[in-house]
Amino acid sequence: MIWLFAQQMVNGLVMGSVYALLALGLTISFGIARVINFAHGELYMLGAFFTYVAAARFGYLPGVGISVLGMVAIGLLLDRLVLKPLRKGKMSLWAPFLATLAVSVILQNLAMAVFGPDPYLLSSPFAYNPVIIAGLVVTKQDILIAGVSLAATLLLTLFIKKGRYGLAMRAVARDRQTAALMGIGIEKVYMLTFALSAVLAGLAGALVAPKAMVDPFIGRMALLKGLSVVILGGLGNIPGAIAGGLVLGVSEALGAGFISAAYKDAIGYALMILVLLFRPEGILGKKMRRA
Amino acid sequence: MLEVKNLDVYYGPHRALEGFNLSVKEGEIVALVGANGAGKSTLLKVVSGLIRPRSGEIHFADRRVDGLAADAVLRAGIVHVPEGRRVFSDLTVEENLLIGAFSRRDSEIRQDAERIYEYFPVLKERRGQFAGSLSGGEQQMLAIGRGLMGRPKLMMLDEPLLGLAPVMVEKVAEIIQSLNRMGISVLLAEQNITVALGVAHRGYVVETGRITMEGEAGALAADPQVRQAYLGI
Ligand SMILES: Nc1ncnc2c1ncn2[C@@H]1O[C@H](COP(=O)(O)OP(=O)(O)OP(=O)(O)O)[C@@H](O)[C@H]1O
Ligand SMILES: [Mg+2]
Repeated sequence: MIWLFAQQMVNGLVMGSVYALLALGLTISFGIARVINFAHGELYMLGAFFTYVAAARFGYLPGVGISVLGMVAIGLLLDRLVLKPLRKGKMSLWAPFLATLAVSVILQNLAMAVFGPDPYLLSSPFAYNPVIIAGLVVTKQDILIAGVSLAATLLLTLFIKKGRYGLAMRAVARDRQTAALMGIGIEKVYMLTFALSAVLAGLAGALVAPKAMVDPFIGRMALLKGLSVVILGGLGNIPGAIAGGLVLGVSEALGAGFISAAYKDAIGYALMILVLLFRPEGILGKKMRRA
Repeated sequence: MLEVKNLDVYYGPHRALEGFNLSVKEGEIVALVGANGAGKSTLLKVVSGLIRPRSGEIHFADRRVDGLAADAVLRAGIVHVPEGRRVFSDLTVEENLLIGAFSRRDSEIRQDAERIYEYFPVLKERRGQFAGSLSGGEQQMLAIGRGLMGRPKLMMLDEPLLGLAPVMVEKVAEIIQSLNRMGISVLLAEQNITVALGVAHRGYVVETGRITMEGEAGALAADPQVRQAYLGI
């Protein structure tokens, strides 16, 4: 019983750190550019496929690195080709919503055309031969997932808190016209935001793929998880995205261990509904403030 | 140093400025006064590159600056302190000052911040607090301090007196004069015509996008037409 609890906690924290990565990407694109990116799941899918293709030639870890570079390019393209034209004039939430939804469908179909509908297995040298620590079973891949997620999260937080462009991002999030008056290149900030957001999503895909399968439609579930976490943690709230990710991962794992694995996803949504009912600003969200 | 020539500005089909001519000479404080909706903010936004004019020219320090992006105008030496202060409320006081120096790459940013703290001790006491927690007057000082961090040659202030208590109005008026003594030229857009013409050397009166009067500040303030239209006397 205690063993099962501890084991499921570990599993939950590993998945939770991936959920946090997914949610962080959504959080910065919403927080800074006011875009709820419905193609975020496809960024995750692309990250996994890029890694799959690159790993076949260069091995898993270099493959992850190449995938990250690819995601920078994808994030920049998404911003330049799709989102920038929508920023002319008044900012609307609907235009980017529909546009990113379209991008999501296009990317799914492109992936279908290139890879077909069958799932691929991305192999990682770390996914086999689990190690046993204090009676708990973990693979090195799990450790890698948690470690890289933690590092990425810390770096992002530090950058946004202390970096020159991190400060610029926060200013643009608040008031883009005044930010422009400060000499901040607004377009540069948006490009940076989507590049970062895409890298975070792609990294999540690249890390999880060896534990699951890769197919053109894995992005749907990834988006749902990411959005659930964003709702749990509070829209546009970075610490909330991290906490929300871990809470979702752990509750899914505990639910799967103690109730039934079949209810794993339902437990996540139940949690989300509870939060919406009782704490709509999110578990770490501030009460709504005037702008 | 600032020369605005024959400017026409539109919001869609709506004309906001028409044949607008204005100048600020080195070392001057120039007041731009007029009622709500006259076009004062529009002029400042055009000069700082937030809005493109339809026609006309803007020259600053012998360079043509109309059509430049906001960051290029800033680097040319024009700082625009916007209407309503617009401090970044969930950034700290210190971060607001630092962001005012975003366009700078030199090593004296910290020193400048310290000088601004010396000048505005209230800001120093509250450097770690969110700017949103400051009072209106303190926010105006922060907005001016943030502007100073850009090392302006010309500072354009948009209604810095709006919504301030009388003591604060006097204090900000003094600040404007001391900026000027530091060698910064000032373009002051204001509805508070008495105070604005009180601190300025010259003034312009704007009505629905056109300049209707201009002249030495004291003479404008004494002008019977101005007094009747804006002061009700
Ligand atoms: N973004 C905009 N779109 C359309 N019309 C605008 C816009 N901004 C200003 N206007 C119009 O342009 C005219 C000039 O406005 P402006 O803000 O420059 O006036 P102002 O002199 O600064 O007034 P106030 O003292 O109220 O700040 C007004 O008729 C205003 O309604
Ligand atoms: Mg105005």
